[in-house]
Amino acid sequence: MLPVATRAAGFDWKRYAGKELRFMVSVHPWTQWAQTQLPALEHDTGIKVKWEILYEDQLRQKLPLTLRSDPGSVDGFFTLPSWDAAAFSRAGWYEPLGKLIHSDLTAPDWNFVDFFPNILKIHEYDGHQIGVPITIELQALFMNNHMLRAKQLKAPTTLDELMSTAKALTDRDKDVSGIVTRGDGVQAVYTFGPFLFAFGGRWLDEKGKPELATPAAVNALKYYGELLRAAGPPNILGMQWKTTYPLFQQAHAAMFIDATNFLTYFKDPSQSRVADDVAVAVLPAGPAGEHSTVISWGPSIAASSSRKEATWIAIQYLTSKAAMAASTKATHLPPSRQSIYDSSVYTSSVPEDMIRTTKIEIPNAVPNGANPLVVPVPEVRSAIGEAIIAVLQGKNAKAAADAMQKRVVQILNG
Amino acid sequence: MSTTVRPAAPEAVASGSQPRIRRRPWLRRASLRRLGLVLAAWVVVAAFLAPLAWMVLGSFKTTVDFLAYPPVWLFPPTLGNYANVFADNNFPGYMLNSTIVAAGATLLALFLGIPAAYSVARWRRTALGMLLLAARMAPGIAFLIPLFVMFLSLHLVGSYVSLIASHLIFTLPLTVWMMVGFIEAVPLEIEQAARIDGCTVVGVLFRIVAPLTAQGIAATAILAFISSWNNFLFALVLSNEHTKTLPVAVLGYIGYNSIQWGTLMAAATLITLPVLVLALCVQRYIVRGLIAGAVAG
Amino acid sequence: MAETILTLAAPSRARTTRRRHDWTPDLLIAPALLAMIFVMGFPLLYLGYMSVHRWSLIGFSPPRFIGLANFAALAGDERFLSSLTRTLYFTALGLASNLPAGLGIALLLDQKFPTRNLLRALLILPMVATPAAMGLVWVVMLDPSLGIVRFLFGLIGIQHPPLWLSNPALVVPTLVFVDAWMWTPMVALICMAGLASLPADPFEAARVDGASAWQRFRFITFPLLTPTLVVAAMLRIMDLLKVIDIVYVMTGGGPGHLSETTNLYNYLVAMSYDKIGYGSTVALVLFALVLLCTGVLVRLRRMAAE
Repeated sequence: MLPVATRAAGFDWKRYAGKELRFMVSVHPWTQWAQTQLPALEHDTGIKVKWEILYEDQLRQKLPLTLRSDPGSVDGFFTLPSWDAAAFSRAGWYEPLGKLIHSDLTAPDWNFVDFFPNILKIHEYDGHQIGVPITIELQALFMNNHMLRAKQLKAPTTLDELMSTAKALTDRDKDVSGIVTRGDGVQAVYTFGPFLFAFGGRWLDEKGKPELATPAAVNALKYYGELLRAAGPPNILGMQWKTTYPLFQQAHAAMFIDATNFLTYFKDPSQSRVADDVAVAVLPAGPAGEHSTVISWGPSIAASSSRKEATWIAIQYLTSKAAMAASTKATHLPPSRQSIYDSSVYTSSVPEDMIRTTKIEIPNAVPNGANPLVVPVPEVRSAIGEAIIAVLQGKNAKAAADAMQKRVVQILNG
Repeated sequence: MSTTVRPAAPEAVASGSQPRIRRRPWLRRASLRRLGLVLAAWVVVAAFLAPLAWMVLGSFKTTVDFLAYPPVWLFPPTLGNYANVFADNNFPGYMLNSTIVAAGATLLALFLGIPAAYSVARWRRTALGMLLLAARMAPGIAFLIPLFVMFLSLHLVGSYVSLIASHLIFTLPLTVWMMVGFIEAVPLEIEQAARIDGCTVVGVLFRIVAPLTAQGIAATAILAFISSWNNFLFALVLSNEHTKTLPVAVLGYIGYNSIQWGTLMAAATLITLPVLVLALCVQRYIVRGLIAGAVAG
Repeated sequence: MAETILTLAAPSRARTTRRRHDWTPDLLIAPALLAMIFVMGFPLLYLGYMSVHRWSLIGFSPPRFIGLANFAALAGDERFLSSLTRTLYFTALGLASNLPAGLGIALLLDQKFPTRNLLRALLILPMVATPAAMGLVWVVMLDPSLGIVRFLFGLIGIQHPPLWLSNPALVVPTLVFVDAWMWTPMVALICMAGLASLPADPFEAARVDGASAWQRFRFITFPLLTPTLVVAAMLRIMDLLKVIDIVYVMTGGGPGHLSETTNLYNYLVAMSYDKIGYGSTVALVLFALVLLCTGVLVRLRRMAAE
């Protein structure tokens, strides 16, 4: 049973006892852990929660429709601001949390300022706090130490080193690729982001207009294509994460770039052959430095809910200091609370190099940098993905970038 | 004449024209050729069945065995994948959904379609034919988009009602088409006799036509059930988490950050096994069912 | 026959001037007709209505009438146009493979031999196996590192067969192959039914005249079987133009859009990009395409029959 945050004098966790809530969330280690806490939640607060876990793309389709066609039927939902924030805010679906946080509905020791400020900002849109960050997903460079040592190579710290190290580690006869990361258009937008930033580029300018044909974008595209064509697996074209990470896991790739989440699967000896050899490092730096993306999932309150206060109590319960200590132990994922992050709970569950990497990357990371922060995210991602597919086929990067810019402008205007 | 009688034309043999048959039939060139054809036929059919066999085989492999290359043929079988399928997700729930939707769509199609087929067979009411043909030719999405919008405003998206109603688009034409054929095979005299005795049309339908076409009704029902069970697109658009059918659910065996190969094979086996068995029961009528609505003019 | 029953059903018709219309056939057909109008007729009309609007389901703004703007946009939509070419390519490859292969199998199984009926029965299995599930099974079999297909190629000496689903040139043919695996049996069964209904006399005469098997096929079997083949072709064209299940499940249209068929693009536009009006337009055009292709085939069939 989850220890409830200490009851400060006067704070009644049970004040909304009897309420029934409905949350729509995506498949994620944290939501799966939270589901196991629901009985304790009900015991300690009297609130009954229906916790619907959907796969990400299904959530993306069903949630907006439910919020629109059945307002009031959903009280809370799991949101990924990099994808949802613009569209949901425009539709008025988020309940701004600022008022609630500073009201007496918040337990005194829930401690809002304990969350990493940079991460809290991710869940801000238009000046409003729209969600409570749970996950911190950065991108990192995973390496197979055994393979690097065998060729006496050091961990690459710059993009140039990455290219040469990856090429050196590639061994086609032994079916080993130097590096693997996403090659599928829509998905690769995520892993392409850090390269774009490393060359000094960005998705949108200050006015929100796409900046996808700049020299930085062209160079980033060119690099991404070259890297994976030279040192990536032969079938990189169209490869999604569900196929990339097993390659690293089964020692068919020496290096891997993607979300930090994947560490759990690399370290699991029942499925991974590299559990003892995996090392985590900061992403290599380009001309403009090193900039990972940092995205974060977290619960939000639906503006149309008629049980907002009860929903807030439930969210607090699941995100309190004690709760986060428990979830970190269970999922081995970086917590969004600084106190837990610095505590022995985290340091004892997560390898030292991951701890170090995330601590270095967080200050430079681009919040919500996974894709341009626009309303029609799927279509724009698809257009950017086309350019990535083109360079992975060896086509000209400048032409691809120009086409990408043209198409995205068309989508945003249309 | 020195033509060797081809064994592939047994009618000729049976009629007694056997001019110059050699004493050792198993050495005949034609006999060997025939053996070759039989073997070829077996090889072809086996090739078609191989993927299904591989699926079933894979459902008993552990993930580790699955990830081995070259593929392992002999391995300790595990029921773990099937256990995962039933324990992990709401698989039994999805199976129930598929059954409810398919049964509902089939029963509704029979209820609406058999009287309509009778009307078409006996009174040549062919207006329905045009609609049925259009149903076969139109892309599902052309109906799904407006149906989705309509059901959305009626708060019916994700209900069994919307799924069953949408499945009528293919189960009803199939039913009418198949039943017309079966009803036409019922001798008119029997119906005439009953009518003369004062039986109403509805009575004729229930007491004469239905029993005589029982086998046809069963075959039609099974074919409609299969087509509903297998349907992917309609469920993708119109179902929600609670009413999701199996074809849509199978996509779910790709987790947030992991895939379970063996479990996927087990799920695929469980999904296809019912329809494979059902299809073998009605294999005689499969061709008719597939042509449904296409042979117009 | 129908006339007989009509006379019996309304025996008074011929004798009195008062015509009593027999409502029975109409009543019997009415429920089905109404159901079809509700789930098919009305939606198609609504589809046309939506295609001249700008329509979003998430509802930032109410639907807006924009006349034929969607259709105009379609003409300039590169992604749509390339999906169209791709779909036609898919269909052509499908026909070119399914029809000869199906006919070949039918001829093979047309001989009478023991276990023939068993084989015929087993042949239906690929057709009825749930496409969505089998698509995923094929993905596993075609896996470049671990798949059984790679292993089989290795047995004949090819250690690194091409990348079936990620090679831009091979992804569509691979999907056609999987589709062919599922539907060639249908063509075969239709041809077998056709072969069984052929008259025996021309064949007897040909055998008597000493015609070879090939000659018999070319001058008798094939011409007589043409109507059957046309039926099979029509059925296949209708399904090939609309292919979406295996594409969605196996590649999602990828890599990038390199295997995106028009039906899949249609689905994405309407359900993922939330452009219901534009999606309706694409659906109408796709429907028209199927009608056109089937109509051409019907016309050809009529011409051939003359």
